Formats: sequence, structure tokens, C-alpha cells
Amino acid sequence: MSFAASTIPACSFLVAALAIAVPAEAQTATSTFSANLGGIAKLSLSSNTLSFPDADPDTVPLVPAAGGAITITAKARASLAATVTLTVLAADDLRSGVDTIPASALTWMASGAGFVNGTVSRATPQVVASWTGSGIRTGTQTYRFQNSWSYRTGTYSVSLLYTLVSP
Amino acid sequence: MKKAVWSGIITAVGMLAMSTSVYAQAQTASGTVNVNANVNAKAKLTINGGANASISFADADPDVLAQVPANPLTIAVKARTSANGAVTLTVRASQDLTSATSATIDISALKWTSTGTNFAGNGTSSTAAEVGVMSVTGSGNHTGIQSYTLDNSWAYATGTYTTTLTYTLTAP
Repeated sequence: MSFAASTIPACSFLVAALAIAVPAEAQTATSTFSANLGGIAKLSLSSNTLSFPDADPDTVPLVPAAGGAITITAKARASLAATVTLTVLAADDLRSGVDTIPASALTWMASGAGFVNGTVSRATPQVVASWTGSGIRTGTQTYRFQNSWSYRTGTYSVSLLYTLVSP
Repeated sequence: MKKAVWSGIITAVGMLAMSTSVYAQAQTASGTVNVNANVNAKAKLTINGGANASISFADADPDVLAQVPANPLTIAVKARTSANGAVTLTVRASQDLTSATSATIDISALKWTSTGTNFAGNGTSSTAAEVGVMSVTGSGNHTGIQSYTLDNSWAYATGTYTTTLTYTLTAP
């Protein structure tokens, strides 16, 4: 799945090819080349579903996702010193009808340069990764679900919104 | 003169091109991951930390000790159920207390008291029906201490009497 920026600034290239009639006397001409590269951000996730199977809280206190890790590819074009940031925010707590499990029951382990471990929140976007400047960055997130005897039975769902910002 | 004109044109066009850029505007891209977590009903029971335990009553003078105590049992209940799910723990004896010579002591001589939230304060063993030990609504962990006593009597025939108590934990 790829998610591109909604507006992609045009890249304007101006090439001036000068065809100057050269008279007998020597002359010089200047050609100015201008490449206008605007900011751009693109995010792709190897999967947009995470499924945690049922498990005994005593034997599996942290349930790994059935599909394994999510591979994230973030492409950003930014200024030299700009901080490119990828965050994740839960739309709600995990919900099954009226029953809920706090979004913080979802945690992740990260790998890849710039990627950090974290805990999901429904209140504040949590940093998944950050970098400086332009480039293509790839990392993985391995989610785990905090298991508990206190949960009520059900199938709990929530959506996680990833946002890549390239200033 | 020609050089100056060309330079001016190029500079102007270049500046025009630069003016269409959006350097100051932050670019964003987003994605969504949908999460599902399955939480099914479960029940787990341990007695003294395991699936099986034993209690024993020492011989005693009925005049001195009308009710003989035994080592207490620590009962741990773990249940995962719906919000209104009734979690129950019951116990039932397999038979009256029976000796090797087939002498019997009625199972009602085996009584208990218990402590712990949601645990019944006391009870009398039965072979005919399940007897409630604990009940609670909803998921969670619960621990109680159950202390058995055996009614002592001069009427009992000598011997070593045994029975089996089966505990059943139900979490719908």
C-alpha cells in the first residue's frame, strides 16, 4: 500500500539552450540551469491489517500479531536540516461493542535507522521514526498486544493512523 | 548587448519558475492499519498452585477436638468471560469418606470455611450435588483460602478414609 502526498508540487526545469549567432568577434553567453525541487512525502506499509489471536494470558502475556512485523517505507524530500517525522495515532481504544481495552495495550518493537519502540495512544500521536533531511527509509514495527485475564470476551478493533510529515 | 538581453530573460524566467515552488509547505502522507484482537472465554483453576492437591486429617480425640482441621487450600481462579458472564466454582465429592474395609463416614462430615472476595464463607460437602465455592460476574482473577474440617465422632470405625473432591470452574 502506498500513500502519496495529496499535493505534489511541480518540478520545474528550465533549460535554456542558447543558439546565439556568433559574429566574427568573440562573445560569451551565460546559461542558467534551475531545478525547482519541492517537498514531497510518500508512505507505504507492507500490510494494513493487524490481527492478534486469542491466547492464555499466563503463557502469552504479550500476544504477537499473527502476520508478523509491518515493514514501513517512508520517502521524503525535505530541506537539509528538516526533521521528517512518522507518527501513529489510534482512532479510539480497542473496542468490541461497549467493551473497551485501552489503546496502550498495543506496543511495538522497532528496527531500522530512526525507528523507535513505542506504545500506542489514542490521545497523542506517537513517534514511530524520525530522520533529518531527504531520503528513503525502511524499518519494521512488530506489534504486541498486552494480554490480560481482566478483558471481556470479544473481537476488539481499532484503526491506527500513520502520518509522515516532511516539512 | 545581446548577452545582457539573454541573461535578463533567463534570470526572469528562472525567478518565475522559482516562484511556483512550495518550499514552505509541509508535505504529509498517511496510511491506516486496522487492528483486530480476539479475546475468547477462558477458565483456569489451581489449587495450592497445581491441578491436584491433597488434604489430610490427623487422628484426634473426639472429646478434645470435635472438628479436626486440615491444611488449608489456596484456590486461584482466573476467568475471562463477557461483561455479564457468571463465573462459578463448585465442588462435589465422588463418594462418602470410605475406608479400605468399606466403612464409611457420611460426606456431610466434611465441611469448610473460606476467605476471599466472592468466595462462599462456608459449605458442606456433598456427593449428590455441586456445592458453590465461589461465584462472580465478569472477568478477572480471584484467590481464596478454603479450610476443611472433619466432624469427629466416637462412632467412626477405625481406618483411613478417603474421597475425592472435584472442583469445577465455569466461565461462559
